[in-house]
Order: sequence, then structure tokens, then C-alpha cells
Amino acid sequence: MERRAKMIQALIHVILILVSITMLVPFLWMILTAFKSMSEATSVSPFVIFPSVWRTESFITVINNMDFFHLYLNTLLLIAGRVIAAVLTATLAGYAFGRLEFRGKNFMFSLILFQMMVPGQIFIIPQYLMVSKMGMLNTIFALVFPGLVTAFGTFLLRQAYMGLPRDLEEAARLDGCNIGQTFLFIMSPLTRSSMVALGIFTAVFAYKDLMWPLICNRDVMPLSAALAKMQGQYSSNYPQLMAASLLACIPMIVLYLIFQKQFIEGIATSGGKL
Amino acid sequence: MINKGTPRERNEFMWGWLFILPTMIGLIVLNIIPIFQTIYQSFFKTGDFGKGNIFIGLDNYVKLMGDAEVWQSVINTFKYAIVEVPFSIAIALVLAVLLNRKMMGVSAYRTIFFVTITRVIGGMQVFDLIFMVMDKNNPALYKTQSIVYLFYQNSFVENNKGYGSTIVVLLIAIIMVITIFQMIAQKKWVYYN
Repeated sequence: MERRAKMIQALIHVILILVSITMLVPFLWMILTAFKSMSEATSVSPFVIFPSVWRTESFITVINNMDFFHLYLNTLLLIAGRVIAAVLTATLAGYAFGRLEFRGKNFMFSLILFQMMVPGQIFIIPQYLMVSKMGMLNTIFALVFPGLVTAFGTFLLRQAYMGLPRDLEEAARLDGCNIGQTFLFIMSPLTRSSMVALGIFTAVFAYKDLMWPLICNRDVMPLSAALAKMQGQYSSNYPQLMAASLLACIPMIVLYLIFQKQFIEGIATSGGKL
Repeated sequence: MINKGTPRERNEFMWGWLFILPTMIGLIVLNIIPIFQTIYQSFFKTGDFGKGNIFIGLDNYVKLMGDAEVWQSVINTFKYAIVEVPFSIAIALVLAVLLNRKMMGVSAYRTIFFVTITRVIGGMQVFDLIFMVMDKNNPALYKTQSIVYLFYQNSFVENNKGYGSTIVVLLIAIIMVITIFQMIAQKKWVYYN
């Protein structure tokens, strides 16, 4: 029994190590390539793993050619705009769907579920035409626009509210809270972890969203679209591409370091990849 | 309607609608109306930037039926999903089981099933990978482009949003078939205690 447990333990570690390697190798490859010369990066010899000299030219060229200050700023504003709007609207709606009874609730909730079932591409052309008609193309607003509300987030928060005990609301009501106060002071603080999870999901999806930024904005670009554009221009200069990619990863690395625990919880409970 | 019911019910009605209103307005404007607009657009030939919308009936669908590029992209997308999904499931499942040790046996199989379907639907929508990896002039593009990539090309590069909409309708049809399969299979194979 003892031995069997140890075997399983060892097997789990082997699997985890293999999975970690497959995930880490591309990342390490990116870092190494960013410091290589062009000929080292494209060398077919399998023994050229480390750069002979750790060059920083690629970083300098990339920083000079791309306006990273504005790319970071645009990405930050895109993420902040979507996260604030999504968490705010989803928390309010999630509470109503999860805890209140009112006419029309079921129909409205079926619209939420319906939105989650259809592929997102179906919204894109009309959304583009809307932003275009508003004259808002090429603005931060255009980037944030499709993420102002979230059906998925509303669903997530509804589930969180449904899991809370009834007694809390009863107590709050007896103490004279109206529904708004009960929500604001009693119930919403208890779903903070779900709000953080939704915030993280929203941030990651906003950060890696490529098609919408490519469509709506030509100049006010977030990192994803700028990288894609650069890839089109210098498709064979791998060190520069990797240097730019590495710089583009920084916001997510910082976010991960801050919210490590919540990131892992989010993946562990949903089993999904981000 | 509002006058019926106890004061408490009326109260909940008011607060409930107040709370869901921002989400519902956003959802209807950003998502629900666009679904119908896209379907409507698929019956039009679109010129430059929405100007010159010409009603052409089912012509886009006739074109779609005979468009070898589209059907090749459907095949490409399925191939991609079939190869990609088992790997992503394996990793997701291993992580979920190892990080959450309570889940074993039946619930693991149930998860495999649901995650597979959602991942297949996710795989059907691959875009950024192909956009980044494939050069626009690469001769292999024909055999690698996905449905969504073709949608992007038609709608925003060639600016024929009518035909782009038709391609999205095809994507929805395929995803609907997968979803219906899931519902039937769920009834047959999955039992809830």
C-alpha cells in the first residue's frame, strides 16, 4: 500500500514535469532567441541553444521602432475599461438573477445563455458598423466597446450569489436594509473572489484579443495587434520578433505575479485554459 | 402588471430590473441585435464600407456552396480541432485532477465529455494562431486557413461583409450541429445522481 502510494506520487510528478516542460520550452526559446544574432536564430544546428553573446540589439531596435509606451498604455486602458465595466455590470445582474424574483427574469436569463452559445464572430460586423457610425473608430472606446457587458461574467456571478445562504439576506432585511443596501453591504463583499476571477478572465481575454483590435483600430493599437502588424513587416527577423514578444508578455507576467493564487484557482475549478 | 402583487414583490421587481438593466441593454445592443443583423446581411452584397448594399437573396449561399476555399477551410478547421483537442483536454484534465484531488472516477469522465465539446467548439473558432503563423502569400495558406480566418479576410480585407456574414452563418450551423449532438449524447451517456 505504502509502495503503491509512492508509485502514484512519482507518476504524478513525472506527468507534471512533462507538462511543465512542454509549456516552458517555447517560452525559454523565445527568451533565448531574443538575445541571439540573426544567423544563430536561424541556425539548423541543434547545438546552438544559447546565444554566443547575449546581444541586446534586438531589444534596442524594437524599442526604437515601436512606441512601447503607448502600446502598454493602450493595452492597460483596454484591460482596465473592460474589467471595470464587466465586473460592475455582471455583479449587479448576477445578484438580480441569483437572488431576486421578478417578472421577465427567466426570459432575460435565457438571452444570457443564448449569447454564450453562439460564436463571437457573429457580433463583429455589426459591432464594427456601430462603432464606425458613432465615428469612434481608432479610439480606446472602440477597443473596450464589445466588452462593456459580459454574459459569461453574469452567469459566473449568478452562480456565486446562488451559493450564499438565505439567512444573510433575511437578517439584513430585518435590520432595515433595502435590497440595494443588502446587495452593497452584505452580499457583494462575499462574492469578491468571483469578482476577482472574472476580472482575471476578462483581463486575459482582452489582452490576447486580436481580431477586434485589428478591425477597429489602425493607429491606437494594443500589444496584440502591434505584434501582428510587426510580424507582417519583419516576418523573418526572429530575434526582433521574439524581443517584441517578450516585451509584450510583461503585463501578463506582472498580472500573474500579483494574482497568482486566483489564477490557479480559476484554472483548477474550471479546468479550462486561459 | 406592476400594480399586482405585494409591496415586497413590487420592490423586488423594481430592484431586479434596475440591476439587470445595464447588462441587458448592453447585451441586446452588442449581441442580440447583431445576431439578426448578421443573418440579414448574409442576403446582401456589400460594397465599400457598407455603402451600396444590394439585396441578392440567396446568392451568397449559392456562392458558398460552390466555394472550394470555404469547404477546404471547414476541413482544415476540423483537422485542427481533432488534433488540438485531445492534447488540450489531456493537459486540462491532468491539471484539474492533480490540483483538485477530489475529482475522480465518474465525474472525471463527465468532465472529459463536456470539456471535449466545449474545446471542439473553441477549436472551430481558431483565428489568431493562423493569422500570426501564416504569411499572407504563403502557398500553403489554402490548406491551413480556418473558417474564422476566411471570415476575417472576406469581411475586412476584401470588404465584402455580406459574404463574410454568410461564412459566419455556416460556422453557426456547424456549431449548432455539434451542440445538438452533445445534447443527444448527454441524454444517452451521462447520468446525474
